[in-house]
Amino acid sequence: MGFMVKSKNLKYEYVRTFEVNNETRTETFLALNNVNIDIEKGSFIAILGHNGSGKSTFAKQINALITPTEGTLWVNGYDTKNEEFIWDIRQSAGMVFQNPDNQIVATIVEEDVAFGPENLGIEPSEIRKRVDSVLKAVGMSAFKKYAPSKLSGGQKQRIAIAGVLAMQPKCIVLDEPTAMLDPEGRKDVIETIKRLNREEGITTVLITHYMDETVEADKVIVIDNGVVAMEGTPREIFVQVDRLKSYGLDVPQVTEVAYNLRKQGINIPADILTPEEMVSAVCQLKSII
Amino acid sequence: MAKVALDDITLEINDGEFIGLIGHTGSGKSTLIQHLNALIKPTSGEILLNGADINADKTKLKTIRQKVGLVFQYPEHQLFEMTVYKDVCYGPTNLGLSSDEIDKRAKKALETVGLGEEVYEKSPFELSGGQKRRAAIAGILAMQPQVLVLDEPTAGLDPKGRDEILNAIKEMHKRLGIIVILVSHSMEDVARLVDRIIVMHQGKIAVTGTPKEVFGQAEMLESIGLAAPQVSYVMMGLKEKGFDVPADVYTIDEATEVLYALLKQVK
Repeated sequence: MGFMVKSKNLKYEYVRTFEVNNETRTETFLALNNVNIDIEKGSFIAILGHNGSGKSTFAKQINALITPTEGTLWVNGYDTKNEEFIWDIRQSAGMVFQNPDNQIVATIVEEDVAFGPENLGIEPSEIRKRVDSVLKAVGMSAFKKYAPSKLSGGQKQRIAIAGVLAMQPKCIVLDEPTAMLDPEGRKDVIETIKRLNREEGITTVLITHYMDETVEADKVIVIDNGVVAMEGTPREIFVQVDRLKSYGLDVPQVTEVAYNLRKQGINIPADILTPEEMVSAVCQLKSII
Repeated sequence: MAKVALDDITLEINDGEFIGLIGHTGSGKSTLIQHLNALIKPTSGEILLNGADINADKTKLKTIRQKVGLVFQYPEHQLFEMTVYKDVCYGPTNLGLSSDEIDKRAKKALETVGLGEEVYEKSPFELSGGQKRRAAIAGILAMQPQVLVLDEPTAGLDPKGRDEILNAIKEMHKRLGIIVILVSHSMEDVARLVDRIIVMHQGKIAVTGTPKEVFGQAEMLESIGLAAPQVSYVMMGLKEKGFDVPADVYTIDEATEVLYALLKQVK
């Protein structure tokens, strides 16, 4: 299996401008420092990190919205620093941002989804086919004639995802797609993302603050201060409760309960991630008595 | 066609209560809070503040809005002054207070939300997400409201920013003794902070009670698009398996205690 995204010693610096006592000053800020990340084709990767850790900066690199100051990033085999490939890269990796209202351009759902492929100069009949199929994929077919403004946050976000899918990307990068949604909207969006990964084989990079959304990821990467601080399966990552907290992150409630119990000498597995796992762990321990 | 956004809401909030208001998008919770400081008038019925109808006298609206402070979602979008200190002074200045009083109020409000002197002269835009939001809350506090309503104050923040805000709100409630109404999607956050929960659904109050009473009804919460905190589901699962555990456990500490008692012989 090849890599969809691969970074080698990636560094990214930018110049920050700010005002102190009415004077404009600038300073160079190292947002990503020597980042080596490999994302396999078809995998589901979650990236965690507190605000300002550099995780969104990395996401923007995947879409070549920004390019490395030093080192290299390959997306679908294309070096993002080579401007010749910029459209190939952006078609390979689509992005979904936090606020759905900033990503919707048309006044009718199906026209919004058609916007991307229209700009690629695709045949109208093919666009029709794509729009219908991606709206079905995100479970929004019934809303194709609606005005996006009449939809809930979760529905709008699924329209934004459909708009990206209509470009037929190989990889989709979602930067906190559920941060502005209510629990139901979050669930719908996350289920849609997981299904697309599983059924369509789209490489998925999910950036989030919600740990429970990352439990089923193939790999979790924690970015802190611009460096890769942790990398592993969700189980390998979440058992390190103290370390995650030191990076300003959370663990699922049940994982923290297991951690507390272990500290008090109870021999319960540390890698409990869901309520069901906790229930069966307790049952198992009790059956020993 | 007229749509009924709120239907037959009868509700009393006592002095000093800390209320959690929950409900999914479109349940009517934002409409309800906008009634509390007369931004929206009820089609029928009335809202009493200290026993007086807030919509009875239009000339008193300014006082009502000073008494009932409303912190909207993403309040940091409303920061506009050159410095944090000036921004917090804006409200009291418009009340026509003396400059000494304005200074006193601004400093107290900033201290209450945990922002020290080192940020006074900073531009609000230099602050972190959590700090910006606390500065915006301080701006409302400086008006010395009797009721403070916060609409999803943690939306979009990372766990650290979220904890900063929630701790500031908790501390503020403790110190000022005012009514705090926290609108939230996060059951975990509400569970560890509030005295009483009001659950809205389709413009009505679906249920109200202490966190224990409300989270004990996980199935009902799910039927209206909400969920109980994660550990509640552990307790329900254990009960189904025949274990004698309380159903109304919703915080990490309580769950640890209950499970420890259950498992200590295994040690």
